[in-house]
Amino acid sequence: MAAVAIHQFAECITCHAWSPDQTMVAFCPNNSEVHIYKLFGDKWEKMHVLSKHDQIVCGIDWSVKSNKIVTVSHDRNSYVWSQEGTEWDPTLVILRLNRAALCVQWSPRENKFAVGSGAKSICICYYEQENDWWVSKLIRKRHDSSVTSVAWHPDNILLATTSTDGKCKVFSTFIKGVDSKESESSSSDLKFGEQIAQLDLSATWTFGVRWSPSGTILAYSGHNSMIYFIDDVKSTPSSQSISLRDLPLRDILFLSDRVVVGVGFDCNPMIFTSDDTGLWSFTKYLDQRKAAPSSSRASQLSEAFGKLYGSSKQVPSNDTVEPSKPRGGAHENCITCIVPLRKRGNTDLTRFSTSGLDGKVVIWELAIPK
Amino acid sequence: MAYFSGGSRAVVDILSKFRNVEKPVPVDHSFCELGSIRYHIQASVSDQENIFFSISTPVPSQEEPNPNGLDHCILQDIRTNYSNFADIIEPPKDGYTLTLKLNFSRLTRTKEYTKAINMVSSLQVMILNSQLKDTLKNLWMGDIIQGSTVPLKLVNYKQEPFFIFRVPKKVTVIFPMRFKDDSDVAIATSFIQELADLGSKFPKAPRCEWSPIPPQELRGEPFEHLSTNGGFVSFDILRRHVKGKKADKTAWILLNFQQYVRYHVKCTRGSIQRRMRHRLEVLSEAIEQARIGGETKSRKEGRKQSKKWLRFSKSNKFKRGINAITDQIRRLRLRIKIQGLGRNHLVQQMNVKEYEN
Amino acid sequence: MANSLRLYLTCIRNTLEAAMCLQNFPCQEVERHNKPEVELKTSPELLLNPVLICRNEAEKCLIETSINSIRISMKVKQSDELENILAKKFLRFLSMRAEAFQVLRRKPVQGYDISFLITNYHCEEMHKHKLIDFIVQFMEDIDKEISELKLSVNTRGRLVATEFLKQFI
Repeated sequence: MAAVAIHQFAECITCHAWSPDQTMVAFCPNNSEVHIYKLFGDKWEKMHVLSKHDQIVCGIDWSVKSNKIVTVSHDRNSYVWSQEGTEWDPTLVILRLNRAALCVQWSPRENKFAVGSGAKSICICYYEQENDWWVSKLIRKRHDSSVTSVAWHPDNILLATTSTDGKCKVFSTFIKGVDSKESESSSSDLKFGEQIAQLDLSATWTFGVRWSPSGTILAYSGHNSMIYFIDDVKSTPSSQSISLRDLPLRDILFLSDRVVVGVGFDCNPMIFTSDDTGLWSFTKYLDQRKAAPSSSRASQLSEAFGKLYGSSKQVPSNDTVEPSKPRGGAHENCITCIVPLRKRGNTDLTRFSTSGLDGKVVIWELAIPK
Repeated sequence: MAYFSGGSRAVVDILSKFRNVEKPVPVDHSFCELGSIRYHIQASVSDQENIFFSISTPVPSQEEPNPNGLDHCILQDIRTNYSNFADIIEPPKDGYTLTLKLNFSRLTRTKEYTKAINMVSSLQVMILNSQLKDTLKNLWMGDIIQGSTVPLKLVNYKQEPFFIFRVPKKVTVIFPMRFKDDSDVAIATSFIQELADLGSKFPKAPRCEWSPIPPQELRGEPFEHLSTNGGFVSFDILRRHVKGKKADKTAWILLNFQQYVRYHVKCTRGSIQRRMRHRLEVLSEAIEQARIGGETKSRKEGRKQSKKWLRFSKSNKFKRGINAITDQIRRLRLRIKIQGLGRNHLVQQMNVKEYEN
Repeated sequence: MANSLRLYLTCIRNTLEAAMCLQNFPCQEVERHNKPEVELKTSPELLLNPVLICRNEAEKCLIETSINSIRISMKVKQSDELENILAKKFLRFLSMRAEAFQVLRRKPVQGYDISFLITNYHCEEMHKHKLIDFIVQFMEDIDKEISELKLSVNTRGRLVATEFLKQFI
């Protein structure tokens, strides 16, 4: 069994995030609130409700080292929540956006976070000690449409974005005084907001950009049911694309440099692996309850087309179209969010959780093929 | 006929009041119905038994209108039908086509009285009917117009005109069909289509035809009579249709044809509406099923409904049947009891009064 | 003929299955707004290519997709005047009760008889496959209902006409 635990928290979940010790989960039940649940024994209990936003919350990230939660919402605002005793204290981050914020992610060192927005721009926010507030620096006029996803390179400087204009872009976010020159020799020469790469592979909207743990591979998905893998983004990018048999992906996650999980409209996580030569391919669906669903549906389609061309003589008795079957997997609706569950001291990532429009948070465990 | 309520309600109302009046009051009513039919009802205090009833209906456009307003044959018809309680006053009251002197004093039984009133109230229909009948007959006998093809315009009791003209060997009755909207036209067209198709199965009935444009013979009629949205329906009346007793019936059927079609259209609209509402329910249940968590709810409701329906359909029908009988018995008993009670009560009251005195 | 209807509906179902991948997406043009992009059409990059599925000249289905909404418009077969009137009547009747269906558009897209508007919110509160079932059933039922209505009107007409002619005997 790949799905370890299924928790029905709400009717619909937009996104979720785990506390550093993974005993608490924060999620948005498709409204302006963020709920935090804690596991007691085998029961989840609601601990806190973070309600500061006034429109739907669409991005949550919980920092591992500093234990801070950052939330963004369609109301154009962002809050950084820090735990003071038993309560969570909000700090408003003035993003200086005039449209909805769509996604957020803490940088690896957790001194910055990036926000993608519907204003066709991204914000890099960092903490100013002397003023005791979060400052937002914008990268403007680089996108032609809404930014759907942001991903930090492990070097804490490079940021990859996907947007609804179909592009995937990589920017430098080097901020003087926040990032030190010595640490990253290659990328620290770049100025803030400088575009490193633009990948124009997809014909339509792109989602779910991620870097591999080593930072050498970039992956993102397109709404045309494609997933793209790019090697050597900084120097000489080379790309591979896999077209899926089923519905498009919404988000992806690198389990290691050779294993990727994709989730999306098919309600079933897909595993992609690369072989020794670095060639990526679709391996399997993770949810075993759905036994080879793609093939059956594909056959249904081909059967229909077969009839169109008059090749098949099989005529059904009634002229009604048979109703589609329920999916019957762990998730019953589109999966929108996938989050790693990293164990301390363990380098291999084998556990992750997914949430979707059906209001479930599902924890998965995968044995990485050696 | 169910679709046809010919009588004038106002006339019935007024005439009913003459029965059982305690104090004689002068009556002088004059009113208009359906646009061009005028009534006048008059009775004096001194002579309550004789009511003067005048009616004015549009005269059909015949070549030689009778100076008295109505044809002899029509008057003859009225005389034979209404002789029990009415006399024709000649000449009629000024401005009216016909005046009757009604005397109901000979009708002692309530049933007779009501029947007479209803007959008076449908006088206009009666006039129209005999008008049509005579026209048909005369056209056949050929004593009004010898082989003339000039169409005659008649109106039915709802003031819808229709036309009659003679061609060699037959008399044709033409109905211009007008409807409120396109959907009515479509329904009526389907009906008329069936009517024309079925003609072969009923050789005794007049042959029926439909045409979208007015027939040749009607050219020259005023334009407003020839503009229709439902085309023209024609019936070919042969000699056998107006022979003897048949004439009355044929006239009656033709007079009501437009109403008949309209009633059919109305009922069909109702049935379409009912079907559509049913389909709406089926479909909205389907969308309710799609709702997350909705399937269990609606299933429960469905079960409840079916339970109700079952109870209603089986036991209730049965119970209702029995109840109806027991109710009747109870009512019979109750009436007796109430009467008894009432009497006792009266007696008690009287006793009380006596004591008070 | 019946088989061709099945193929037509299967094709619509498969197209819907692929097209109905919607997500919550706030308006790029107006602050703090969230509107169906397929209706606004202000950002061309948020629209996908529309798909037109035709059974024949009279019956077709247009599927327009955007990032947060999908619009399905259909033209119903109307072979004669009576079917035309009945279809109009029935579809107007349904459109006037659009609140019973949630996904029914009150006014059809120009050139079509009836339109549905499905947004990401509908996908959140309804099972996607059942929603598609509903759309397909709706299309099927409309066809069926119109031919049944026509049959019923004609049957009634025949009965009433028979009764009328019987009077002469």
